[in-house]
Amino acid sequence: MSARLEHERGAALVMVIMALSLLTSLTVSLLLSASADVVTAANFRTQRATLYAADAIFERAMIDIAAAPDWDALIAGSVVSTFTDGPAAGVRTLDDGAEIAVGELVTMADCHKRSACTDAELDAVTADRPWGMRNPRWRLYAYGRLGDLLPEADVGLPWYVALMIAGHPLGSGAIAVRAEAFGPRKAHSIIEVTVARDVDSDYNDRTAPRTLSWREVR
Amino acid sequence: MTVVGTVVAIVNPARSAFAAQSEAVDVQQRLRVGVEALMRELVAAGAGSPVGGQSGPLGDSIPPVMPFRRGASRSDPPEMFRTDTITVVSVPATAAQTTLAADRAPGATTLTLMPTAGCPDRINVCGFAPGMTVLVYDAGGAFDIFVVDAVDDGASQVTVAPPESAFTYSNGAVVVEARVRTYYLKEDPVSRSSQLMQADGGAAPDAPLLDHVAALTFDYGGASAAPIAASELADGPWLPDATAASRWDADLRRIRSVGVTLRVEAAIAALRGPAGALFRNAGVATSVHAWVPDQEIRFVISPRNLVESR
Repeated sequence: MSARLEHERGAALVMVIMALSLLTSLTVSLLLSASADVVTAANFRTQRATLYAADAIFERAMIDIAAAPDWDALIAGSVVSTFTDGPAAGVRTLDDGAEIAVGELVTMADCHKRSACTDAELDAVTADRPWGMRNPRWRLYAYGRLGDLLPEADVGLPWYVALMIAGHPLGSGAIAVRAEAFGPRKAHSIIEVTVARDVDSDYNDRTAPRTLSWREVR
Repeated sequence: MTVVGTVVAIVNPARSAFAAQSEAVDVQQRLRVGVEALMRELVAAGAGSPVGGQSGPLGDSIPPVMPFRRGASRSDPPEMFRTDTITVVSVPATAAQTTLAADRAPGATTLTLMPTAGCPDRINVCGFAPGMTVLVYDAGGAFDIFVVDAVDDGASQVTVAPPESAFTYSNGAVVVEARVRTYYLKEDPVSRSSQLMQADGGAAPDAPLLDHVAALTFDYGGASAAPIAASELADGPWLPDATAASRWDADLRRIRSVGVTLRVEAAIAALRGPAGALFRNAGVATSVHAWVPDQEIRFVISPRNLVESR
């Protein structure tokens, strides 16, 4: 073996180690990238499903709302839906361990606080509550596990849903309805709907409720 | 030499695969962003207002979904139908909801308003502000989108930028803050790339929402998901009448669902192969290992506010 080649002994080992290092880092990067994509896709899917869960409790509650003879009682909070899962207080635990404080849902909707809201906080003009003194004063109307809407369905529905009612800030005989859903991966969706019904003068009776606006709260 | 050759033979394809995988993830993420933006907008299309005689979803009075561009400016001419453009109108949660207190003559830039409900003491028209996009409409199908220039609270008036159309609105027409969004495909023939663009219906310049969109098409369905042909949405009958400069096809109020087809391509030409089923726009990839095919999704939205009955 010549002296020049003698000096290059071990070079192959170095190159193989470098190549292995490069391949390992590429593989790790690929795995991280792929797994992040999977998580992103799962979050996307869960968030979409959570919006549909909020819509589901709205549709369910509309059955009771349509049948209610006096909407003022709904606005005052003296009547609640047939869909509840016990007292409007305490904590409910989701399948993934996340906790939902039912008693705090209303104050969170009214003033983004876990404790009672002051009058000034209730009347504050904000982007999502722009009506000042006519801001909605939410009352909890329906709440429970989404799965309880379909007890016979043998599918996992890991969402908790709640629905609140308030007088509409612009009056006109309409009510404001706010449906919230909480799901896996901290998914949370809110929709707010304006619902009205008229008096049918021919029969001196209330007409079926109609939806004036359906919005997702972001 | 053998070792070096082997290492290069292994590492080089791995590098290509890594680049392709990263781009594939990016393509999927851009697709999700596009879907989310369009879905959120479309699902709330037609959210209306409880004020005025036209109290109800917007679809009772005007078309909340339009297959062309409509806004305070740069609107498409009437009788237009574009497969790659959609304008969506809704009323957000806002205090700026009232009615006209006096007739508005064609071309007039001053709107005299009824005091808005729920304002603090001694304030007549709360909620309205310069720069706000407002929608004025009546029961006859006339509607206009304005941008507020100034608010004169003492006179209960707002001044709007000169509109493109010239309807007469009677006392009682609804005036509300509106969310108007136009989405369209902007193609650049030079770079052969396209962007999903968003226009806000007001004075702001259009903004790109998504790059390297290979295709975007909208189609429409009516009751029971029956397809509505493009020709039906641009052939009359016209509202508010057949001679109005900004007339619109009455069949637009039949729309109950919107189908969206969105196709996104790899941004890097070196990761796109020849044009065909996998690639709308050809790239310069020399190896199939480096191909990142276009991703296409089709989804159908039934806007909640366009449902005929609950």
